[in-house]
Amino acid sequence: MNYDKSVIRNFSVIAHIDHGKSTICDRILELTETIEKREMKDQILDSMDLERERGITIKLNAVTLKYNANDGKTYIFNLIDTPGHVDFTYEVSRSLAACEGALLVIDATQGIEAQTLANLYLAVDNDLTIIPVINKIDLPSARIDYCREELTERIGIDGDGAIPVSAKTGENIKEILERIVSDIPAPSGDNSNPLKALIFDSYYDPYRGVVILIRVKDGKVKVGDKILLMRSGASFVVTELGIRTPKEISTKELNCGEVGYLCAQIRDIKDVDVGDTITLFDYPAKESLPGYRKIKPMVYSGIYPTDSRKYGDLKDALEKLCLSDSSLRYEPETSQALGFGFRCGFLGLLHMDVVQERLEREYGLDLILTSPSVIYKVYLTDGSVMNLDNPSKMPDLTLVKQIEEPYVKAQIMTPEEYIGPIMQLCQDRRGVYIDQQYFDATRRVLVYEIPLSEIIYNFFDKLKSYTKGYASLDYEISDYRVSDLAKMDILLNGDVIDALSSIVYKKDAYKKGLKLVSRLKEVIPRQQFEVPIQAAINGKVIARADVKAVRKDVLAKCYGGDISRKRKLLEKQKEGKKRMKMVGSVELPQEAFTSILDIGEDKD
Amino acid sequence: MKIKKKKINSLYIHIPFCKNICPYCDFVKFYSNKSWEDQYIKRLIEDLNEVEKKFKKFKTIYIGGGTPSILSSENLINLLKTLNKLKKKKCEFTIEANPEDIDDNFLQIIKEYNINRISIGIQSFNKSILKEIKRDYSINYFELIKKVKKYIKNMNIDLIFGFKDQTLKDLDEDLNSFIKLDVNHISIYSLIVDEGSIFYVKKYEEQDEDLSRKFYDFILNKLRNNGYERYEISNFAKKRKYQSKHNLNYWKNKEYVGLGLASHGYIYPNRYNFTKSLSNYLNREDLIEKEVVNPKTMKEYFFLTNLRLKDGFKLKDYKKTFKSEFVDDYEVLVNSLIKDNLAKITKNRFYLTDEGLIILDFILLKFFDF
Repeated sequence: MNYDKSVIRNFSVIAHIDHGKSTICDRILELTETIEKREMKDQILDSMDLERERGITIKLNAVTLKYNANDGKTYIFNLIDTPGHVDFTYEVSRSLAACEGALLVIDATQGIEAQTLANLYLAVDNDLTIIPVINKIDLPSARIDYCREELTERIGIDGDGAIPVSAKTGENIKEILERIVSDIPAPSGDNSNPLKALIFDSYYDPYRGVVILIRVKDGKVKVGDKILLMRSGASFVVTELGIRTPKEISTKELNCGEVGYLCAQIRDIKDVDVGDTITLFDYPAKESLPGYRKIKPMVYSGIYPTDSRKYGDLKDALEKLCLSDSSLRYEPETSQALGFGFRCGFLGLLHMDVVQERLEREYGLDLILTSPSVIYKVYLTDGSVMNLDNPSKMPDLTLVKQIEEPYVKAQIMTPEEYIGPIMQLCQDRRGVYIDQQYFDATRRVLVYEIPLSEIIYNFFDKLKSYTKGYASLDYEISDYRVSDLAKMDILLNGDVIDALSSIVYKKDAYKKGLKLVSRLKEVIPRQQFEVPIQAAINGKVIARADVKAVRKDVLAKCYGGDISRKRKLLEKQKEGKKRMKMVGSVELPQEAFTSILDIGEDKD
Repeated sequence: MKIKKKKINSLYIHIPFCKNICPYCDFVKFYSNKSWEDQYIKRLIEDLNEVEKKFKKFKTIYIGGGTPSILSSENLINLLKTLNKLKKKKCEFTIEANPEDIDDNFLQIIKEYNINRISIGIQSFNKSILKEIKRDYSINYFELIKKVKKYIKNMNIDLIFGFKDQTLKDLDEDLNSFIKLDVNHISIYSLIVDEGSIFYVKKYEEQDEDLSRKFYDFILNKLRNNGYERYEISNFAKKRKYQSKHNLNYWKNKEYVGLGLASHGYIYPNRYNFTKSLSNYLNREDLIEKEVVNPKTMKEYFFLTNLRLKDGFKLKDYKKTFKSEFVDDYEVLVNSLIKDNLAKITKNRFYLTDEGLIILDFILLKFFDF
């Protein structure tokens, strides 16, 4: 088909988690016959196994589709999917920068959620045209008029213009496509201008090197062109261009306004920086595109291979993973207990979880993750300040003047009846009450300032369980504040295990120490000899528990000659042991390193 | 020309039928049914005739189950007749029996066909435990054993410990009842709730590790004080000659022929097992699964069998099998086990101490991982 910029529509979909974004995308793919029915798997854009299993979108994903509109013309749609979880806001901002419009999906039974708002503001910031869509109208509890009102009153978008749909039954999906044609502007720019293509994603392919996903904002690019990556300064010759439907179809060129992929035999991952601008080496653009707001990781944790010989594999895996997850940060670190590994920065705990699972699944690694930590500002007596992202690196207390920790401003939206328990939870987590707003007749928004460290220790899970899943949480870093903090060490057999150290609020230290040692006692299997576990602050032991010695470990019966079975049982146990880390003379399972996460408060 | 017959010490025959299903048992078993039983014994005898052609006569034969004593007199006699053709003149010839099935008729038959060892699954003498495991608790064991002895003197009794709510006093009484019977061999196992057992489905809880150890130590002491020597983790005999030669053959990692549904065998380099499906067995379909022993698994088998024995293994047997010195191959591990008093080494032998035997699996993993 000939290139015609006026029939191109680039858009993404914004929605709160569970509001049906991926299902709507599936229906759109179906209706445009991009994917034949028989190829249709549920949530086709969620290509990672992990995404399908968890039912969430983690990575953004782009697809090109054709739509024969009522006006008789055929339009080219580029749909860029976005993740909905608060941890992945960065990915959302990336996809929005590649679009002219966005569908805003709202669950007809739930109304607008805090997270929907946050992403919507991102879209508006990017000057996108918003098309509101009210989903799940097939459900009996759907409140379409109420959602329309909410759109108008809360956000100032014309609620009457919202499209009521059911992604489940397919009702009104066609209306969405027509509105994309009529409401979202065609891309601006011109093929004759110098090339400006935004890199919005990339991944590594063993055969083709780095595959870059681009949105051509201005100019055009052909196979054989010599390109320049403006920020990194690297240049390459384009070997392959194409679009994803979602099958890859190679093309000779990508024109202004188009979305597609680009390969240029790029072997070194470091040359490609998501958010960078590609231009032509011989006909360069004067200035690069704005790129992205660099996002700072909020949570840090050490990642170590269970088998120290796999350090090199872990390094390669992290490098490759970074390509498709540019929010991940890492640098080498060493632990006495765990050997060589990396200190990694994550956007949040879910992000950390996802990274761990991807490393283990996609790269076949067995990993130990230390308990997550935030960045503390440690003011030393000599006047210097250190940013501490690893509790074990805390300087001697005599050298420390004061410690500051990051606070977040947390907005919790909840049905009224859960206000009590949530306030209790926030208080337990050292939260400072700021405000309470009425969101609508039945829901309120609580605003608290809470130390980030308290949020990362299973705050979200607690919140969900206290409110039967109804509350939602949105937070952003507000500032750093002085706190009365101390490093709590864990000793096994009398030796400090650096990987188990954590920073705690002094007033909670005694309680936390007790809980931590008893939790460790639960998760550490019996050892050959009794092992004392101690929690200590400033060298003073505040709690102790003992891991028992193995007393009896034998499969007594071995008759009928079924010896193969016994061997297989032992093999299985041996596999289990491989996931343990030998620290000194003690075998520690992965859970031991993150057990501080499980002791947020009393088990209820 | 006559084919040279292979020499293997032991033959195991499996009888998978039972009258009642014991709740702790995870073996393959079927409620007894005359027609199945007839077909099964017919198949078994066909197989035994094949075995006779390929193997020299056996030093030990063991008929286990299931419940071999459940067989009809006719089937039992037919089976024993065939087996008599396969046994050496001097052969330890054992049959397992349930107390409920033992009567003069049964005893006469087995005696007549040269069975010289009987293993009786009593499990416990405690009435409430017997009820729990669906056993007949009205039997007078003292009288029963007296009667058996008239026919067969070499006898084993199986007991189980570690039932829910069982106290040390209950255990002591069980052991006293056993000792009073004056039987020369006992196998005493801690209750294990295996997948495939009724207890597993009912989520029956195994005894806590520390308590189980306490019971085990108690048993070890009590039986030793009454003249029984523990020669394998769970097996005790009054004199060396009463040790089970058949089981010792397994524990010394030697070859054995297994026949019958779900039975296991080891004919170097194959460890094999028969199908668990009765219809497949009767129709000769998907009959056998094999595992070829390789140098690595050979070592694993060597340790997991031999180390069960109080006497461990002869260093020269290790050398003969693996063409290297045991102490060279496992120096660091051996030294640490000896230092921790879990094992001992002499000029000739390596063996685990009492302390080591009770955590055998823990130690085996170290060998497997070395």
